[in-house]
Amino acid sequence: MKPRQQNDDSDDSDDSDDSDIMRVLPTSDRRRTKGRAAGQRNIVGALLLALCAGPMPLASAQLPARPETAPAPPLLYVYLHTDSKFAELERVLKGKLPALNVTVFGRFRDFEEAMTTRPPDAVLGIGALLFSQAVPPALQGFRGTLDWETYSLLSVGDTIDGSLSGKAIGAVDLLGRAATQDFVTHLVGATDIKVKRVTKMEDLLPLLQLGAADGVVAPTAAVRDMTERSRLPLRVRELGATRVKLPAVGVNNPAARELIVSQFRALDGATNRMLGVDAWRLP
Amino acid sequence: MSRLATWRPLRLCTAVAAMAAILPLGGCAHVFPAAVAPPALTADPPRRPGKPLVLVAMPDSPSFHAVRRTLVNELKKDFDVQTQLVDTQTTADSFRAALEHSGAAAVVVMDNRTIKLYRGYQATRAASAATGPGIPAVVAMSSFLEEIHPQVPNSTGVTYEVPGVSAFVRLRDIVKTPVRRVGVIHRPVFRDFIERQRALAAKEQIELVAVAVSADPDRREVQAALRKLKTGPPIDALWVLNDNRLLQGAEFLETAWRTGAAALDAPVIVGVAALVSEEAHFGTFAVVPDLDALGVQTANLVFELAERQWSAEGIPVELPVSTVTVANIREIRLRFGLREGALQRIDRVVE
Repeated sequence: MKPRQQNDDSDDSDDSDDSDIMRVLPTSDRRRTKGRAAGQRNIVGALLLALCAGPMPLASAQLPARPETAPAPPLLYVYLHTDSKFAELERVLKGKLPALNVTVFGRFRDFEEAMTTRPPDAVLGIGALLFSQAVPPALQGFRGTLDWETYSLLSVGDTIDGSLSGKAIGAVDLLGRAATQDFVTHLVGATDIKVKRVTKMEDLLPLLQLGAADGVVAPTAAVRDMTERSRLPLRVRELGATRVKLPAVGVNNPAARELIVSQFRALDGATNRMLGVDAWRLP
Repeated sequence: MSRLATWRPLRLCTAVAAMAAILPLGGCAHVFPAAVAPPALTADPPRRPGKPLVLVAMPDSPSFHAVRRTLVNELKKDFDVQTQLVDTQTTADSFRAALEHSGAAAVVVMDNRTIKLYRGYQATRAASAATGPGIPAVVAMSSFLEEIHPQVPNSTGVTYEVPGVSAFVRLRDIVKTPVRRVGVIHRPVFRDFIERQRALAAKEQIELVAVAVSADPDRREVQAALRKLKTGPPIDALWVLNDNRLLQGAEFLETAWRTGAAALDAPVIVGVAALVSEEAHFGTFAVVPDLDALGVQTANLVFELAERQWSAEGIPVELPVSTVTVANIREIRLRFGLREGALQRIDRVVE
């Protein structure tokens, strides 16, 4: 895992103080991040600031002469779980981000493999995903004044009124098998749980309907939709101790940064809501 | 990827093949989603030292390859995977030999024919008083696994049949008319299956109204069952099982089902996408397993097996969690009303 390439102090939101935001990470990575000296963090932050301040001249200087044919549009990978079907999300984003070559992934392993075999210029996903892939955020999504959200634990009746020890907890596969296990473990604050991964948000409810999990975790913002769709006696417990970063846009290719940022900042309200944010700001 | 015998296409019941690709429920009627793009065949990579081997035994057809693709994708980081294609020429001996010589820690068994071969492997081991538990199996893409499972020790798996409750709740998400009572016609062999579905549906406050027909029903019996559903307390939807005896082909569908189903004035839920098509114009709403997600769910069971030192004892059979929906939107809009935002919840729309 590469070190985090983000200036933790650069957020411009009053409500998004990184000091009390746990970007939920794999345990091993959290440990590594915590253990990193402040000086190292500053170096990473400084590097990022430098990139942000003047990526174009740097990139231009390193690039060969522009070929006569038009350059290929920057490649954007999207791995984001929303209310929309992946195909619909891809269709909309292709239309709304016309200067980008958009690919939406429905499964983490496909996304992870593509990141290796054909690295993109940019990635749209939750903060923890960008961190795990060592992609520096160029834009942070905000909902109101917040750049984070909480998750909630849903269960049927009194299934998990007591300890979560030994329980099966369902979750969307946000970060791959091991990292999603760590993510959920951290969210619920119990170490000996069994995480059942699903590939889509809409599959969380069937886990409860079919008795395949004792509980499921989902963004608190998605809970209302789930409770409205089901007649199960659902109990909701907000896991407020952990704040999970909202979707962000990470850019790998400094040369494409300006174009990518401008494309996202031009998105209309409906498309932003589809992505689970209200607006995009520089981190 | 190696082949245990000569390739033959997946056998489909003739009548069903006329309507769609169907995956069997019960003895032979397999009902697969019609629009599965044939994935490119990928050769198995060479073995790596220290990686346990997972063998995948499956028929050579697009639906199975779709499941295999995501299965392998999920597993390949942690395990080596080898694929053995199984067909009608595969014998119990050749299957057993392939399994025993593979050195596999586990085998993923797809299709009922392959289960039969795996049971042959287990029987031979038992007869020869072989030591150790043998190679455990994770079963996928097999019909009525819950019924078969007690006869297949050291195995787990994912059933193929979409639970009724998943379909009913999906329908309730998109139509304005209520979905509180759902009618279903079934043969005696499906009684236990129906009872399990009844219990699951009750959790979502949906009542399953079951009408039994004989083991080998003719069109009159189906017509009578539909009339019974019509004359009793009104039902809000009709659920048509993927039973090859109840869906004996296009003509049977026409003569036994169509008029009576239409008279119910309720959405018809089917398990075959093709039955919702413009041509068939029978089902209002189809709910079929999401084959990609099925591969992931199967892979999760392999991981669980590995965590339990390759013993499947105590790992329950799972129901498929993820589904794909196909809806005749025009009919729903005209007859039952379309909920706001419903289109977002439908994977494939038939106008």
